[in-house]
Amino acid sequence: VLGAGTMGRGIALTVARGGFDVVLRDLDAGQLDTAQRWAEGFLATSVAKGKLSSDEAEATLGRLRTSMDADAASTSRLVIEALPENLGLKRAVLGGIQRRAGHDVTIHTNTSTLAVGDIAVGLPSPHLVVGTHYCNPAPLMPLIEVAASEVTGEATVRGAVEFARAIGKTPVVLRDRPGLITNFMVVAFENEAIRMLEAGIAGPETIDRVTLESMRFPIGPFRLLDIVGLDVHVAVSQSLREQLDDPQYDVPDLVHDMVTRGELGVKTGRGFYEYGSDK
Amino acid sequence: VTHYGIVGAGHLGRALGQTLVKRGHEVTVVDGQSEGELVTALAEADVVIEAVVEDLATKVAVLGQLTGSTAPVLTTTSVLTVRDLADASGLGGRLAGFHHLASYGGTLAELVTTTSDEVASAAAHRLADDLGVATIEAPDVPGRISRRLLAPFIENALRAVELDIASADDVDQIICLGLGHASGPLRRVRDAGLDDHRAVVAALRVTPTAPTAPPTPVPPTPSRGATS
Repeated sequence: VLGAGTMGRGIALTVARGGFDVVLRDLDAGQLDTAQRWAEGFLATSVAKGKLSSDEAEATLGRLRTSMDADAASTSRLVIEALPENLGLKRAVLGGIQRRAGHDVTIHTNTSTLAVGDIAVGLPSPHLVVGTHYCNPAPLMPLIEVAASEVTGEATVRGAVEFARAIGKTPVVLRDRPGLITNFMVVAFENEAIRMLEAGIAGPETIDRVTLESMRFPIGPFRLLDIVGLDVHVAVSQSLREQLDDPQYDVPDLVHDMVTRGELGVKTGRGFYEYGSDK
Repeated sequence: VTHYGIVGAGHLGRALGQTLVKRGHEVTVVDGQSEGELVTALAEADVVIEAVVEDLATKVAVLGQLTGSTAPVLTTTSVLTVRDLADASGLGGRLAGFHHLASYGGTLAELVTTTSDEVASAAAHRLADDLGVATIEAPDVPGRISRRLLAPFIENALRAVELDIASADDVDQIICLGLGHASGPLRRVRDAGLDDHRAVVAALRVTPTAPTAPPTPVPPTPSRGATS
């Protein structure tokens, strides 16, 4: 698994829980430390809640290893890419891995905002690249969006579906398009809510309450934005705006202002809501 | 026990009537009354609920006839403003807004009472009590809060199918498993009525190229009614 950020560490743990040996690779030692501690904490919580035996937790940790070595994935048959959403970076890293390996390397990209085809075309084995988009938190959310680009091989798609099932997830195969379904739907929804707030129609509490009790959604847009992080929202929304040429993804000024003030949501203690030190 | 008069025997009018009767209230439902008959037909009603199609002229025609009675009137519109309807019909403060996403399983009604008198406001709260739903004061803007958020969300689900990104069943499964919804948007809109969704979308001008409602200034646009 490439990239030890929120998604990468969550995916690595999910795959290790599914019984596979995993190397989580990142060039930043601090990120790897954080990821290791997060995985240990997550498993400890699962054990405390009775969802996992301590033996299973220990075995899972035994299958999960972290590494800063650029060639750490050189013996892997399957590489799951959870790098920052930067097309050039992804292509450079994945191209290097496919070129250096002495065998076929299948690549699952967790991209949620780029087209899988844009990542794959020009790599040594583009037919071995498929999108597998996990939802956050990866160990808990059952869905994997499997994105088949025009250059993805049928066997690669089948393999991604089987792999998803093997790690206990539910795969849904769909056409490769930036944002897939989840972000296409949820980011537009969040922007609409923010525009209503900007227009003075109602406050975050009221809009969240209507979303829960009237529309019967499981979480309100402002609670969700605070959890996701407003910096992440801006990045995803801007990327979709450029690629889909759709004004739904215009980032509302209010969000830019909040990011400038450092109000990113739960992680900074303040977003649309305020959070105590205990969060 | 409250006696409710309901004008309009469509999906919404019937559903409201059914719930109220089940909860022990008296209901008179009327539809297709000719000019002058409406007030007589609803003479027994303590509160009148207007649940005809989301069309300004149609609603104003019905509400205008109700100026001949004394009962407070509640409009179920979600896309027209209560101010416009109150002004154009001549009902004025006797009218309050009561929008409830019953067909989507909602348990919260959005009330608009900004231009209503005390009797009409009280009638809106009484209806919520009688239906067993909570209330929130909503701004008098087209779409209120719920429709402004729900209509584009459903439009995007429909577009995802139209763009052949995934099948309707797959879109619903993704929203349930990935976003934690109890039921998918396409199943929900199908059950609630695609005609209802289309009317809301048309009124809010949610189009495939710009699926968001145009920003509405607060307070809303001046009345299009007879008094402006």
